[in-house]
Amino acid sequence: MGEPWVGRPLRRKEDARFLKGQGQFVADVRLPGTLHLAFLRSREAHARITHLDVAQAVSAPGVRLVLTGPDLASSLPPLPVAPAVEGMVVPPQPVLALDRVAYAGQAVAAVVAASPATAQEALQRIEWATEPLEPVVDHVRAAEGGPLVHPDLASNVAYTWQIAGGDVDAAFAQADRVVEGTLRFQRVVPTPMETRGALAQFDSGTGRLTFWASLQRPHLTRSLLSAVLQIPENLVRVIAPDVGGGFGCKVNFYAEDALVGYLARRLDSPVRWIEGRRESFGSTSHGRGQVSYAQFAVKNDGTLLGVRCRSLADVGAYHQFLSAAIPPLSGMMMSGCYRVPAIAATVTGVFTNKTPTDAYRGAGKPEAAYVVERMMDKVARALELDPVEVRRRNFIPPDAFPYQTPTHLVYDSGNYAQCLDRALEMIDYEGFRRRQREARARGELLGVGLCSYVELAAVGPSFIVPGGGWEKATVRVERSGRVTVLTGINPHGQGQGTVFAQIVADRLGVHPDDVSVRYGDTDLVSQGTGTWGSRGTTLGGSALVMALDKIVGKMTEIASFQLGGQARFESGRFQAEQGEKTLSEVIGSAYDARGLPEGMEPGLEASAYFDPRNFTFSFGTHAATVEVDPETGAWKVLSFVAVDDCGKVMNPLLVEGQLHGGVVQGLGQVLCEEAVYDATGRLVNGELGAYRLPRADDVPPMETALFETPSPFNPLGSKGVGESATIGSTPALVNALVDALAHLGVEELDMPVRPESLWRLLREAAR
Amino acid sequence: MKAVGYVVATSLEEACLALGEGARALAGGQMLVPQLKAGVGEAPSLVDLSRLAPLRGIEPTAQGVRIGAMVTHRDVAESAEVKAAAPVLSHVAARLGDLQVRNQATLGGSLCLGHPTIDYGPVLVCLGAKARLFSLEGGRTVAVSELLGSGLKPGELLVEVLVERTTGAWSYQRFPESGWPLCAVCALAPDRVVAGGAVSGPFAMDGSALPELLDDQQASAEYRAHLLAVLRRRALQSL
Repeated sequence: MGEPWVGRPLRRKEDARFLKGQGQFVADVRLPGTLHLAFLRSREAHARITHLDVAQAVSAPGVRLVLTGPDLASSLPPLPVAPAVEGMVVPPQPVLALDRVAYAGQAVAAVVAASPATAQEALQRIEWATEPLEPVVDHVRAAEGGPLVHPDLASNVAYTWQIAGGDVDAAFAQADRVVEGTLRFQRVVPTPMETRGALAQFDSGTGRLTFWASLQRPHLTRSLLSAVLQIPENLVRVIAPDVGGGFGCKVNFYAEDALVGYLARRLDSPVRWIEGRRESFGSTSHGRGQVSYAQFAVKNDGTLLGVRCRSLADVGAYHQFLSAAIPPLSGMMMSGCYRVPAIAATVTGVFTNKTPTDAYRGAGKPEAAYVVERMMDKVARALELDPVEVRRRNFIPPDAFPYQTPTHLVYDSGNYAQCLDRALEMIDYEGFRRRQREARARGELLGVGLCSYVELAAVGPSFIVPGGGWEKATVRVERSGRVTVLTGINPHGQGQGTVFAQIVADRLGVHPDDVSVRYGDTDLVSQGTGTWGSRGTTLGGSALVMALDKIVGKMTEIASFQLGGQARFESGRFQAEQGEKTLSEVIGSAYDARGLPEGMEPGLEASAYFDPRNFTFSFGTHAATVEVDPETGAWKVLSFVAVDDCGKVMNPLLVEGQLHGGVVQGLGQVLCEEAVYDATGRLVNGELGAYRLPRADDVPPMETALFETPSPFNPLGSKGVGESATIGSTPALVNALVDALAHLGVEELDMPVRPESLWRLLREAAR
Repeated sequence: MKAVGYVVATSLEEACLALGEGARALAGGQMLVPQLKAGVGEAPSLVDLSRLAPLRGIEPTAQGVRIGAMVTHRDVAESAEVKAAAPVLSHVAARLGDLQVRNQATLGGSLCLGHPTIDYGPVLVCLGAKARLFSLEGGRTVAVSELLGSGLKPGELLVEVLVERTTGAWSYQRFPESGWPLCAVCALAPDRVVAGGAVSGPFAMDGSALPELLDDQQASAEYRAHLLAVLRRRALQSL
């Protein structure tokens, strides 16, 4: 057998059809007789609906049905919410607003018509009026009191989650210094290239519902559609065709999903809704939106003794299905890469009259890394130590794994200093420090910033993840020798169509081109948990390996039986002392059902579920150098280095792609991205002309390097990399900007770091 | 986008007739079409200008160069005649939008939609360029600064832009370097400076007080004023 396929930088098998325009997204799925759904959405953040008259819309030509909240109240329950945090307050979210709107973008009425244009025109004919209620916009103020997002609740606090380990009071009592910081991680809009959309068809003869949608987790949608519509789960088929990105916002089950499914059954016609881009800014969940108050207790030599952190998370108007699980992750990750003897973290979810927040690439972990890594730089400045030194002094050493954090996590394996060392070398840390000193002498502003992060990945073990966090795979070795893999993850750019073919090729001795990886149809793949939480390759791949082991075991049994002695499978052949059998001979026997051991079933198909015993903990160090124009405040990244360790690497090209994408996404948050709300609770930059995303010419020169510290908790030794770079990049960039300005007394920077705000800070500092 | 009437004009008169009845002129469609899709502004009908020969082409003139209103940014950028007569104009045209936009968007569309941040504004005003307009009442020639300031009259059409040859040093400075500028400055030797991007139209920076600057979500007026002073100094230094 030649060089293994796993580990090679194979280009994605999936790409050719996308490049040729042959992708099939939900909007490309056409069914005859389809009706089109459009929504009247609130422009107000908080208002009582005093008048809602749809008569003119109902009578418009081409309109089939117009619905309002009260029309649906007896037929559709409030949207489901998982009880992710003990004691959380769950205000019911109706599919369409009842008598009150709680955020701008909330659906108030729905029109079903013969064409999208007719539906849009009919929306204009709906007459409605509202009486304003006081909006709750700022979640920090909302936590303290004042007007209520939900008037029937006692406060705006949605939940309070706490974790503690070690003797925190003693740690702070022993500290030489307590360094404090307020870290703001602003609300952003996920903006995948494809917006959401859904199409449903109900077969009244069989009672079956088929539901196409742009989803990261189709099996969850199947369960929730079944629950909400009261259709048995085995009569619901959910298909996620090609999905044009998700970044977390397509895990959730939304009001539109429930309504599309409901209407297809009620009207006995296919019903379709494709979200508009502007619509999406209000109707699809946002990400981030957290403010943290941190205290780090340290000794004068930089040793960490304890961490206290209190965070306020902006929930938006309603919980989403799993959204409450996310901000607590930031508390769990408060140990970062460091040996911290005592930690106490509190996360309070706060309702606001804004679009709900939910998962966004990293989901709680970027928030944690931003707190820990900006604080590590603050500690270094407070103690006049080098930030490299402070990190090195506190790293959990390689021989301390598995490492139990005070926040009840067990880090699987790691070598944090190795990544830091490599990053320093690649960014030429010492050389840059010299350049920085020389530049300062000329009045120029250069900065270098670091972030050593650890990521909770491969989410995750069913004893922690609500509803189960396992993954499923089925392998079919066909008579022809070709192999079909069915996986419960749902890749939408991650590339497991290629990675899984590499894994199969190595295990069975076939070519990756002989392997077809299928996903995204719950009738084809019976169970699965989807693609999110940096889990696809590690969990889906581990289930695949388990299924392959079963197939190889069965084939070996057949070969041993036929050869009359124990065979071993190697390089595509079954070898025993008595002779050998080829793969195709054994496959032939399995399907001809001749020469099989007594009682063995024919065929070569196996399924497996992998439920990990632990998360995996990817890690790395990102480093950035920046230059700030002292006159204008404009800044640019001079170089960016990402050194990551995601365990065993299956395909370095795809890992590098994930890192590049994640760095740019993290840069977007530092440079320009922010959901800006005015005092009335309206999103003032709710369209792509005003919501600035990073562009090609913002992408800095970037270098990556990989180390491979395997995880002992799965058969592949892999860890997950999908979210890593959004975790590592953001703190590194802000630390670099602070480093450029700190000698002028500028230490507090908030994202996005706009040139005008830097200019103002520089002007203040000069006074 | 709502369904609209659509006329392909085959003569200037036909185009002006349609414009007089409230139609909107469709050139490259890079700003108008997204606006209409987003429900910004109204267009009971569109008049397509792509067949109008007088609006096409770039030709040298005795004093410099004439550029048809329907000439794309890419053609402005790559034209040897433009490069010879007004190199700063080629420089700016080559950096507008991205390649797909430059292939489609036109000089005339850019000038007539009157967006305050267009890069062409300060450049053409600095060059003293003129705009030839046509209407059923007859034609007129106005300075580009006037066109940008008061716009077209109903039923009026921009036919071409006339640029006089400049041979001296030039500089174009904008902030930020890409994307819509918060402000921009064009300088021609020895000391002519015109600013754009910061107000409803370009204005000369000749030492007199600045006009009232934009003050919006993108940037405060105070910051724009500061940026203009920096850009002006940098432009003059590089001449």
